[in-house]
Amino acid sequence: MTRRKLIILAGALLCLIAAGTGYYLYNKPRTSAAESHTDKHISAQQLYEEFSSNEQQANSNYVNKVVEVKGTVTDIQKTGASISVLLAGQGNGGVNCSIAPGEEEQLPKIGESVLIKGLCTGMLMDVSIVDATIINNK
Amino acid sequence: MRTICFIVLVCLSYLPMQAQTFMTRNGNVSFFSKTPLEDIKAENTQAFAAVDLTKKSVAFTLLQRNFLFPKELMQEHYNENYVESDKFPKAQFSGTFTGDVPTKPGIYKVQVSGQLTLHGVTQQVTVPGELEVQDGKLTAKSAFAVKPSDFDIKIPSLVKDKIASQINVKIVAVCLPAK
Repeated sequence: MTRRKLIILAGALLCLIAAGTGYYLYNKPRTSAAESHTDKHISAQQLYEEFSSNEQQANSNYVNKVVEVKGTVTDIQKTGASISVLLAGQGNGGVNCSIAPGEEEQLPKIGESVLIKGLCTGMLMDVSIVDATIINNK
Repeated sequence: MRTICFIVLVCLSYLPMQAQTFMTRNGNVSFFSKTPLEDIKAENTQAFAAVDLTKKSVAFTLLQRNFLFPKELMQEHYNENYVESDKFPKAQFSGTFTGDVPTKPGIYKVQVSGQLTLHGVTQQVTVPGELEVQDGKLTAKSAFAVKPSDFDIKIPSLVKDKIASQINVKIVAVCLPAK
């Protein structure tokens, strides 16, 4: 009798743990790029070059990876609450970094060299980086 | 006299023909799904948009992976199961609008119709829009609903109650004159 009770109790406990874990995973907030481990270090120019020369290859190398990109700021755009920093690539193209909220204080200026960490999502007109944070502007 | 009138008219009609293309690489596209069980929201701040006032054409393109969700699992499911971002990384719209939009400041209501490509499926859509001309900028706004089923996006029955059958899409693109 006690053994049977024990088994039922253990079963119930396991169910509770499973449900709890499921609930936790379901509601888990998105891990920000800033908290994630950096997968690749690269210069903005080289990143742009790799995407424009072989997009497919670059997609498998960089898309959905956290990258640290170093480059020269060519434009800063503020639209409503969103800020985007454009790093020089080649010609009109560049690396477009959407800055994560809370980074407004330490924005670089146009012409400065900057190191930005973010999630690479592919190439549109420019190489896209989202959820970006500024690591240093030196 | 008639010839002079004609020449003046021709000149006048060419006046607005200067390039009036406005564009941005940072258009904002967000979508929202509301059901009693769950609200889902995602935002993309890197939509590329181009509006040509003379040709009355509008074009949008965006990367699916640029949509950021508050919950990690939602983002994963969106990219991997629903829009299949690896297979179909981009969504596009190209079309034309009706109604006259001069370059003088003001808000102009328009109807936009064209082809929307999403998840590899192209559909003809007509949506209401608004073009606002102010300080040399052109702001394009639109809000409309998209049915995932129209674009062959399958939602498993397990989560059917959590995802609305119509997803509300909102677009705000602040465009600058093209250089």
